[in-house]
This record gives sequence, C-alpha cells and structure tokens, in this order.
Amino acid sequence: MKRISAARRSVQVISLILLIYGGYLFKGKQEETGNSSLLPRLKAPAGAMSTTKFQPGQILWPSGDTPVLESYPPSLVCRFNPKGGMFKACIVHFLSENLTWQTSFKYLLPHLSLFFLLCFLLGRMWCGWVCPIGTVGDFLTWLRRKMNVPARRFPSGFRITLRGFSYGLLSLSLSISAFIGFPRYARFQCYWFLPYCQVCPARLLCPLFGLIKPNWKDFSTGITIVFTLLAWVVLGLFLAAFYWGRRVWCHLCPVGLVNSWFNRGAGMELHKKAIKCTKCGYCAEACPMGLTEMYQASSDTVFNQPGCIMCWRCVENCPRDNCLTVKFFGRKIVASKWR
Amino acid sequence: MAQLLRQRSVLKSSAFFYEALAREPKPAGSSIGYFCHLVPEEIIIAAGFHPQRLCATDSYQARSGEELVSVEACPVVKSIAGLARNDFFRSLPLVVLPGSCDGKTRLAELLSVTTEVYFLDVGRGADYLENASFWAEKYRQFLHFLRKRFGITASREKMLQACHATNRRTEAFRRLYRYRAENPGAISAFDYFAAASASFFCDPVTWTDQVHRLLEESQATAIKNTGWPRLLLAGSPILFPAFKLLEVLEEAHLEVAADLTCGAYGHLFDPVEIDEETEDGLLRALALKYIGGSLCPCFPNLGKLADRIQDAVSEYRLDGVVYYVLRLCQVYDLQTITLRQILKDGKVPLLAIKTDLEREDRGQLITRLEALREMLGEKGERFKR
Repeated sequence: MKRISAARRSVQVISLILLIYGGYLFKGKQEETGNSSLLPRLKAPAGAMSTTKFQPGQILWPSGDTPVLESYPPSLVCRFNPKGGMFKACIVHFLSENLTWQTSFKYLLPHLSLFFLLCFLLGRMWCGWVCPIGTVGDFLTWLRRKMNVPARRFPSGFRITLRGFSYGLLSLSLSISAFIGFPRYARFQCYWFLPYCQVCPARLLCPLFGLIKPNWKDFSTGITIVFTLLAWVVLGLFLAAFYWGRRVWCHLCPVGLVNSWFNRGAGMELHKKAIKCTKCGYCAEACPMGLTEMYQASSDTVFNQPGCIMCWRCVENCPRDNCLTVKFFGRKIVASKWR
Repeated sequence: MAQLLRQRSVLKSSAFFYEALAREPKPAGSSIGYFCHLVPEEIIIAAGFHPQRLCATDSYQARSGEELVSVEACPVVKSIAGLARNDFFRSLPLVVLPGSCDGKTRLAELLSVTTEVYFLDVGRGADYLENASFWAEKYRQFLHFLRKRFGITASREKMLQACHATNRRTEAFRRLYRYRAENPGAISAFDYFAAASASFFCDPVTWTDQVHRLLEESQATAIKNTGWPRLLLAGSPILFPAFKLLEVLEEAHLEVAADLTCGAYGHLFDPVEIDEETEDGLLRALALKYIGGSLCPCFPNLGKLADRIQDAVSEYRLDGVVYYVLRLCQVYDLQTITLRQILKDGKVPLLAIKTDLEREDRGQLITRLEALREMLGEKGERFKR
C-alpha cells in the first residue's frame, strides 16, 4: 500500500474505534465525573420529543445510553452508536433536533462555533479520513477490488444530480423538523422527529458494531411502515453505491454536504502546478469521488471544490514529482513524488 | 556499429548495452514484435512472451524497404518495410502495430502478407475523459486476443508482476535520466541512447540491474565536465543504429542533457500507477501510462510537449532545445512552427533540425549546430553577468 493510503487507513481505523467504541472506552470515567462537557448540554424542552423517549422496538431507539461528550464534530458521528458512542451526533441530527426543540441560539452558538472551527481547519477531510461510515464503505470497495469486480464510473452530470438530491434531502428534513417544532403541530413529533435519521443507513449500521440489534423494522403504523421501507431501500442503495461506485454515496450524504460548504477557504488545500502535468489522467482515475477538475485544470490551481474529500489519492497516484501539493495554511504537508 | 561505439565509451558497464544491440535478438518463437511506445508491454510479458520492440531507423533497411512502400515515405516506415524481409521478422509468431500514424496503419496491411499482424487501434483523441474507456477496451481486446490465439491465461497476477518489473525499470531509468541531467558529461548521450535502445532487447529485470550498475560506475568515476551548452533533445526518436544526430551534436560541442523522444523518454519514463488491482483497473492504468501520458504527435499533444520542454529546461537549467524532425515524418514536422512560437513566448531557444538517415548532410548540420552553440554561449555569458 502506498504511503498516503496507509496513513489514511490507520487514521480511519483509529477514528472508527474512537467514534463508535468511545462509549465502551471512556464510559467508566464519565460515570465518575458526571456528564462533564465544556459546552452546554442541549436538552429537550418539557413535552418535546427526544431520542431518549423512544422505546426498544421503535425506529429511533438509540440502542444504548448517553454519549461521552455532548459535542457535534463535522463527521458522520451517529446518535445510534452502541453505548452512546464518543460524541453526541452529526450536524444534521443537531440541526433537526434543535429546530424541533426551538432551542435558543445562544445555547447553539458554542456548538456551532466548534463545528465551524473544525471545518475551517480541515474542510472535508472529515469525510475522507474520519467518517466511520466512509470507512465501512471503503471496506466494501476493498472487498470489490479483491473480488476483481470493476468499479462503476459515473458521468459528471450524475454527480451534480446527486448533489441536488442532497440539498433536497437536507432542506426537506430540516423544514419538517422546524414545522413539527411549532406547538400546534407538536402531535406529529412522535412520527416525524429526526426525519433524516429515520432513513439514514448509519442508524442501521452503527448499532451492529456493538452487536446490538438495530431497529430495522417498525410496522405499527402507516408512517413507520413507510419509514422502515425507505430505510431499507436507502441501506440497499448505500451498500450498492459503496460496493460498485467507490465514494459516489458521499455526494448524496447531507452531512458531507454541510461539510462541503467549508471546503473552499479551508486550511487544507490542494495545489496543482500545471507545467508539471502530463495529462495522463491518473488523478482523475484515482479520485473516489469521480472528480475530474484536477485533471482538466490547465493553469496553476488551488483545488478545493465542494466534492473533494481530501483523501489525496490523486497526490499519491500522480507520477510527476511536485505536480500536486497539499498545503495547510500555505505550509507544504505532502507533494506528489513517484518513488 | 555497436563495436565502434563501445570502444568510444569511457564506462565499462555500458558494454552490456552495446552487446545487447549487437547480439542476435532472442529466439523469435519466444518474442512478440511490436512498434511504437503505445503497445502495452506488460500484457505481452504476462502472456509469457518477450516484448520485442522492432522500431528501426536503419538506412540500409530503409533503402531495401523502398521497394515495398514509396520512396517518399517516412524513413521509419521504410525501415520497417525493409525489416519485413528479415528471417527473424518472418518467424515472429505475432507482430503488433498500433494505428498511431498513417504509415503504421498502412504497414499493418502490408506486413500481414509476411507475418501475422495484430492491429491495435488507439484512436486519435488524447483526452482522458473522452478516450480512456476506449483505450482500455482496445487493450482488453488485445489481451483476449492473446489468450485465445496462444491458449494462455495471462492472469491478473502475472500482469501485476509485469507491472512491478516495468515500474522498477522506470525507477532505474528515472535515476539515469536525472543523474545525466544533473551531472554534465557523466554519461555520454551515446551510452544513454544505446541503453534505451537496448531495453527493447533485454528483459526488464536484467536491464534494470545493468542501469544501476552503470550509474554506480559513473558515480565512482571522476567526471570531466566539458562545459558545453546543455540541450534538450525533443522530436523524432533516436534509435540504434541511427546515431548521426548525436555524432554531429558531439562534433559541434553540444551536450544532450535530457531528451523527450519516444525511443528513450517516451518508452521508459512513465510508470504504471496501479489504482485498483482488478483486471479492469490494470488495463485502464496501462492505457493511461502508454497513451494518456504519451507525447506522440499522432495525438493532439502539442501543448503538453511545450509544457514538458519548458519544465525540463527550467528544472535542469538547460540552455536550449533541439527539435529533431525525421525528414518525411509528417506528424513531427507539422507542429514545428507552432512549437517554436509557443517556446518563443517562454524565452526558450529552439533549433529545428530536419534530416534523414543518410550521412550526406553532416557538414551542413555541424555548421548549423555550431552557430547555435555560439548563440547559446553568448546568451550564457549574458546570464552570468
């Protein structure tokens, strides 16, 4: 395995263990000190729905207890991790929940600032290096490669369409969440609370890491049947997308979408020196997100477009020395070098 | 010819390459012949054959080939046509011809009379987005053809092994390339081009070892820096035994520090960068190595060539560029003027030399090259101040 890929795999495995098994690793300490989070703990107002109110057998039952830290880092950190996991939840969960609860902005501000700061530092590196769901997906990709099945490649139009869908998903789930927050419509909360979480594949996958049975079906009412079926379809799409299409799923992920807004202007940047480029296409070939802008650029470019998850496979696959460079606030981290 | 050149070389290790050039090629039954650097060697190696690149620029063969093709044809095409009368050529089980230029396309038909020819269509586009799948598909067809024709497996694992072998060869070649560019006068252009031409005849592992040996010997030898202007040689291939251009450059006291020709740089510089080790991924990676990264003027590669020239000139601090056009080779000839205009904007001096394989114009070439040296000498002094 090449240098950068080896580093990335190690970081991915460590983050997966930390984020998913954090509940097992740090729980004892937390119980001694109580829930000691530097940031304010966000609580559901009286009468409002929250994940803790769901019972086993219902879709949103969190299959464990409270997380170690009440923070929301920019990655897909699932609320439904076994034993609560390390962090509370992902940004989509955070926004949906607090829109429903109509939490005051002054309580949200510290959490949002932390999120913005982390995004500003690393951009979408959170997707490529930390996201545990991405790691699961990369494992599926690895499996496909071992089985000698060719990767599916998608045209750029498909990519843009997926991004459009992602905007649709995010805005729909946030507006539903805001809608059911009004006292008049609060009776819908038991069905429509956290609408994206109900179909998110992470909700079904994460509990499996702790050998806890996720609530993969709830056929009690019409709405739960619809959500159950939708979740199945989405999980199937998710597995197929990662198996055949490398990281094509990440164009659809709403958490990745929020992270991607910070890619431009983030501390981590990818630079291309055009005169070194031979237009061989190895960078576009290696990109798991299927981006081709790096290949197409014919002048010196700072490459930080929204789709890039900063896995730097282009950098390690570039056969030209110093053609592609990764910089962190202008300081060179790594450059393409063939052997 | 090889013996003469060998005597001139100061490095003992270079003898291996001259011997490889003088020796009879490997037995025809174990080799598959091919032309151009667009044919994937790794697939041929995986099929259990030695990939014998047959590209020839030999004035005797060119004259003999005139009877098969036109007198007005490109010397390479004529040389290949002349080679077709050779017993070795006739006994090759298969010859692969890519449809790069018109001459090669035509030869595919002409040669199929004497031997079995596989025509590898590579198209005319050079854009990854448009053509990569097409190239990979053509390579797949070639692989399947070999499997069917010779009843072999040519498995993915064998292709991977072949890729690792050629990558190590590329590693050695890049070391040689960089070493020559950074140490003026360390290894002569004759040794360099002989080594590149010898790679057609040797298996990658032996060749790699010999190049490392040559480099070690050169590093241990005291280098006599001549102080001649250092040039980049671009354009038509310099292939053994047609070293006329190297001779006149030496006589005009100019040093070839680096090259971008398809016989040396184009054949050996680019690695296979394996992204996915599936069969599909391997074929795509090979297509990108051979066609995607190629500088062949049969594809719209002029901008890329200008970039490569400017990059090499600035990276190795070279004094100028000699653009070599083999007379009657249309594709190289057509882009000369545009290339000169692009490079003029980048302030890189370029001398275009159009010549054939015959030796009559040696005196004239030397005069032109000496004029270039004087111009570069003045420029060099101006830069020093």
